[in-house]
Amino acid sequence: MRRYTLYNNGIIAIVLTFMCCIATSCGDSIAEPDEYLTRPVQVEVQGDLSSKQGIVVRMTDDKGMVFTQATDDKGVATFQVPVGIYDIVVSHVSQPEDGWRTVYNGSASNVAVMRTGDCTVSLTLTTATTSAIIIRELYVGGCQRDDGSGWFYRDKYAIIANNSDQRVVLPGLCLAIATPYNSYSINKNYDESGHLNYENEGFVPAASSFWYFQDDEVTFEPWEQKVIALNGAIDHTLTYSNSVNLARPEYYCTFDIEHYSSTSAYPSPSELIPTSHYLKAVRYGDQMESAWPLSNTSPAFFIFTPPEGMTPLEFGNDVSNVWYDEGRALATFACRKVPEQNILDGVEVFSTAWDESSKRLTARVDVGAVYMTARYGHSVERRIDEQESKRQGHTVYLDTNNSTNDFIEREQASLRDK
Amino acid sequence: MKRFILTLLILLCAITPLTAQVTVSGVVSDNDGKAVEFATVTLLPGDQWCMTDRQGAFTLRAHGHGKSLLRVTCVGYEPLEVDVNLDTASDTLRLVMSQTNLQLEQVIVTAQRKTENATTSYLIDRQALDNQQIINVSDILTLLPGGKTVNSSLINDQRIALRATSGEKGNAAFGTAIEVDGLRLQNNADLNETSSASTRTISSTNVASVEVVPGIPSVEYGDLSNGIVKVTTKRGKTPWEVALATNPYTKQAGISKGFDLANGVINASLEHTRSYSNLASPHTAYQRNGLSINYHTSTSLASRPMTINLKMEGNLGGYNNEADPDLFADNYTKVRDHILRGSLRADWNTDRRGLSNLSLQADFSLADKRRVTNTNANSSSSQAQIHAQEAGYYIATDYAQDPHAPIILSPTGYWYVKSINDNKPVSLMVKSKAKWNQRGERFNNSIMAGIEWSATGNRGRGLYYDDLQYAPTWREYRFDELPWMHNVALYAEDRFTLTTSEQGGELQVTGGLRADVTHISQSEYGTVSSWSPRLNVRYALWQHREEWWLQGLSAYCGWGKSVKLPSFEVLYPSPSYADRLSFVPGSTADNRIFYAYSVTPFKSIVNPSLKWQYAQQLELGFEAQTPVATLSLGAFFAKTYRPYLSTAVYTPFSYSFTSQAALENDFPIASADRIYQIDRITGVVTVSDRTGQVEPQLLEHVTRNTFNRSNTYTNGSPIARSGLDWVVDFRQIEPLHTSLRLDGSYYHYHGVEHTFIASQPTGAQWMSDGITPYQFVGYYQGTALGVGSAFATVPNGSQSDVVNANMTVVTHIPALRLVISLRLESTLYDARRSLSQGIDGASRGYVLTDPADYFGTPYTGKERDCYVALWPEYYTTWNQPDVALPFAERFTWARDNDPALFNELAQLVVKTNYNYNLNPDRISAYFSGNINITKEIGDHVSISFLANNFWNSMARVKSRQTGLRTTLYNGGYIPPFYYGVSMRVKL
Repeated sequence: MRRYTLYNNGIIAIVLTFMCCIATSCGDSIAEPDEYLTRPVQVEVQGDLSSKQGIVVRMTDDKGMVFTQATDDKGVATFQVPVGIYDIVVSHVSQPEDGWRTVYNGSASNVAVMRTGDCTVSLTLTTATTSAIIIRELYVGGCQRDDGSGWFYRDKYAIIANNSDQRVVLPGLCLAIATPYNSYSINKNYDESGHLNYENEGFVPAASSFWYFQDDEVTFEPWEQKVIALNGAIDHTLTYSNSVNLARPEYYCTFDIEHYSSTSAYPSPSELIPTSHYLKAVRYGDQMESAWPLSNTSPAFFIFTPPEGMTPLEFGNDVSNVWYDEGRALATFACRKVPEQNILDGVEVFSTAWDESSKRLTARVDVGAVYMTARYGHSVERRIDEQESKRQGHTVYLDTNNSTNDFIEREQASLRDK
Repeated sequence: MKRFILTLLILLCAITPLTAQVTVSGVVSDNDGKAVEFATVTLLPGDQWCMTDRQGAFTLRAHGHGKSLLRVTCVGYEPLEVDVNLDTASDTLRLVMSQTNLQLEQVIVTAQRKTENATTSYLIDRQALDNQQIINVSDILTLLPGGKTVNSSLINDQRIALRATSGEKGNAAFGTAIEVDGLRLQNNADLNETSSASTRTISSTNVASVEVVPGIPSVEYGDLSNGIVKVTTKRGKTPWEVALATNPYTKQAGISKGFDLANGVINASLEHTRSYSNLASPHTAYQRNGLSINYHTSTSLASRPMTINLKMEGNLGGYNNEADPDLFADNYTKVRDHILRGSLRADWNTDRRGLSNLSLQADFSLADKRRVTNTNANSSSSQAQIHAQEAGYYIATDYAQDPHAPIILSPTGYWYVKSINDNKPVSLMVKSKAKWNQRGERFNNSIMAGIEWSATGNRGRGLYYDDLQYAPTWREYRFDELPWMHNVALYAEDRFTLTTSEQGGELQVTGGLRADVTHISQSEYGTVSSWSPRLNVRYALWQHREEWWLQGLSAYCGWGKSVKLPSFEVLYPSPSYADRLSFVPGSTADNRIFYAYSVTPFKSIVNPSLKWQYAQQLELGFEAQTPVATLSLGAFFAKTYRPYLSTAVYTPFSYSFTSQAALENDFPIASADRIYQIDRITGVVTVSDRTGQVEPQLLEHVTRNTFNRSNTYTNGSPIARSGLDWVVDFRQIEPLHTSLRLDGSYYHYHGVEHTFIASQPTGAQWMSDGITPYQFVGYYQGTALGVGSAFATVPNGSQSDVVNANMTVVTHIPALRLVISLRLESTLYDARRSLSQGIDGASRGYVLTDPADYFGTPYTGKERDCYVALWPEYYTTWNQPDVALPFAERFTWARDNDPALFNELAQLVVKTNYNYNLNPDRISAYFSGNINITKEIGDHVSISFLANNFWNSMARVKSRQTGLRTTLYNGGYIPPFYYGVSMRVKL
């Protein structure tokens, strides 16, 4: 199982520090210190690339020092770096084509650059297609109540954005989550080799239920952003001054009171919001839930379009497309298999409150994860791609299919100011 | 009933004195020559008894010849038994009792089998309770053969269930009766639970002894199906006794004393016990403050002795976390556990025409279990707080407009909700019984007949809120307006004892019959009655033959039918409500939402063919005494017939639904000017203009067809339990001052349900169009659930076999006044499995190749590691609720022809959770050990120490079902490491 362990990283750091101390104290007194001794390193990228030239390779040593080089026409980046232990990351996005881009990712950890000998690293890049429709921001962690009695979390929202200057028309748009609902819960969907057991099956399970736009076609104008209130589409700031106002006529909301009848989880949306902006739910698992079990701390959230020829409702009702979370065949654990090629975007959120978390989205959807602190009004938001923004004269968000790089944790949700 | 009364009268008329009257008299004193006052002197068999006076003197009149056994008991003294010959009993007997202390050669710290009974019965005395440091009487199960140690605490309200384990059908805990000094602890009027009575309010330091009868008890005890626990508290003249105990979770202090009064003796006991839920926070606690006063006096009526006992017992205590600093300000839960119990009992030793004893007892019990919670609440949107109790459509109304509106619109912002659940069960009982005793040279015949009336009710107001503005969805249900449950019982029992040989051979036959009549004035079931016959036979081939290797050998068997009458909840069910959202306008600028709901109240549906649940129990056992050890082995087989099973009934129902969409498209009335009204019958919403400028507007609505789900009680399939209990008490190895005891139990349970039950998929389910509520109801053969309302599950029963074996080594050194007991507890065999079986072993379910499948091969019960799917036998639809449609046929057809119908019907298919759920499970053997030490310091002080699971076992057990190993640590198999100290001072 692939696990991200702050604890383990700490241990590794201590061990490496200890080893460095030994190396320093026991070394030849006339030898040049390692920090001044540089060695050549060649990183060769491989994969299904139309052009191997100009791909940026980043090497980070254990002290946080970063070295970057672009590849030549043969796909080789040449570095001259101090002796040490390095992590090498490649994350490359192609130019958009019909609203879709290709994302190439690759990484190598604990690469040792020695005092002697050559250091050559070969990285095979994975390929993923990403759409121009992205998750710009996700706010699920709630905020502190005014009376000091705890936190309020039914003011969640997501912002879905068109990250291109082209009009995009989708054949339906659905919001889904993967399991376990919280990143720190024990994930029983890993096989003995440490991989998600659906990693190579070409799908991501959508747990419990999913929400879908009522329209057969969902249109995003160039650079358009749609705010979707995920619980109460009302002005929460009237009661919780740290919260957000989600009662705006242009907003959308997940509201299907006949399917999720809890009025505390889903108060009737503001009358300013037209009912055509209500997203509907199709439920197939977790049937005792009174609300969509979107984690307050660490969801694996993704958006998708239904497979060709199916409406979202038909896709959700199709019992032959069932996959059971944890291998448990109760109806409660039923998920729908969403083909990776239909997933427009996903963000893997880990909780900072827990040392260990496990990935739920496959590498083709999101190869990384972004950490978030719940309960204090924080959200996760995409970074701005400075270069592309300058080039296109509009804010362009970073989308390398790797939320570790693409997302940051905001200390205040962006709608808080509106 | 008439036949029973007639038989009883004939029996009573037939009684004539067959033998001459003899008088047995004597004086009882202790080792120091001091008279033992108020000791109970009983002549066996026959149970004729009297009490000693202030000079320790007693006179017992009896009819009969030959040898008899005289037993003398008194709190603080070792029981004394002497043989008397009634033919030569004119001399005054001089009896000397020994005070109980560790200087005595014989000290018992385990449960002892009561050998004179013709049923399985165990006695646990004060020394055993002290050694085990019992805090809650329910913990005494630890001391029974094969018993498992629990770490004593009052936080967990552990209930007693004899010869049963949790998770079984038939509600065994509700069938276990508990008495304190003959006063039945009733639980019938406690509307919040269906279980045996709580024992938390019984002051454990005031308990003199506990008798546990898991077998077939006398017909004197009714309204039970799983045995009885009889608690006897201290009485008579006892010295000052101070008891102190501490363990990580509980502190206890108690004091008791028996005082001499001019015309009697009064025994008073006071105890304070406090248990914490969290070691780090002593602020959340349950406490017991018990006071018990037991007055006893002797007098004479018609020149025959009569004793009068008056007992008052009370407790002030309960759970309280108000002082817990970890909770948010002013958040708390306070639960009272106040009890006041009283009992007046008169026993008249009549000795007239064979009528040896006449007793009259009147009891009352008042309880106050008021629960108050104060919880902070907050909301950014107004919510509908539904209080409607009549059917119809209602719209939310501001509290200021109508504080008693059927639906009140909650405020937004922050507030507190204070709820009070006023629960005050009351029980009354009057009973009288008479005993006739006839004694011949070789036989004794004792007839007992009695009548009993009991009534249970509740004086509580039920759940309510101190401020209706903040009361969430709730309906008033006043307990004090509910009818009382009355029960009248008549019973008669004959015990015939025949001496068969000079070597102590004896045959004892006990037969009895009990009739119970239960009445609740407004119950649609009317008056219900039942018969409970019982028969016990005990045959001692020989006894007390010290010169033989097999010094004694006896066997017993018994059969009994006991009826557990239906609970208050069955006979007088509480109403439930189905609330369906009917109108959902948008939220206003200040976040107010005028929701409307369709409200449907319903009660459990009367089942005119419901029969009363009963159990038949068969017992068989033998006992043997040898110079090496005393052995006892008992076997039982119990079958519960017609267990109560709560099943669902689905009734087609339609309601109106109006959404915000009806208020869109330039609705002519501005939001701020709208007044919403809903037709109570049709659910049609009308919007009026506050300014009067626009005509009222009728909103468009849609009709939703769905089902109302209510419950009915029916009789389930029989449940079988059987088992063995054994005890081997080895004689003490005198040089080592050590004795060994091996005890254990084997328990087998088998329950499979075949009753058809109706079930829908859980939660909200919809047809393929996404807007029509689910229209099908599946009917399945059986369910795994035994309590609550049944729904479809793949297993429809379970089977378990458990073997527990304990070894207790007791080292008792009288010279040091020290007892050390080491107890090794083991579970050698623990096998369980869920079953899915059709009638007569037919297949029930399909083995799936892949969990995503719906079709497979028939499940036989032999497959391993497979997912199994259960199909309903048939299904009905909303349109045709009375037409049974064949599921298998339709489902198979739909797979190939109608994908939408297939998706809809597939929701009625239930699957096993994991692929191993139906695998047989067996947990590998596991062990734990406890050590208990009691030391007396002088004549006045004794100290006990205990350590449960003292080696803090971290071993692992393997589950055969899953192949996984799990640690015993905090795994629920053995108690966590635990220790405690207690001290007693006698003055």
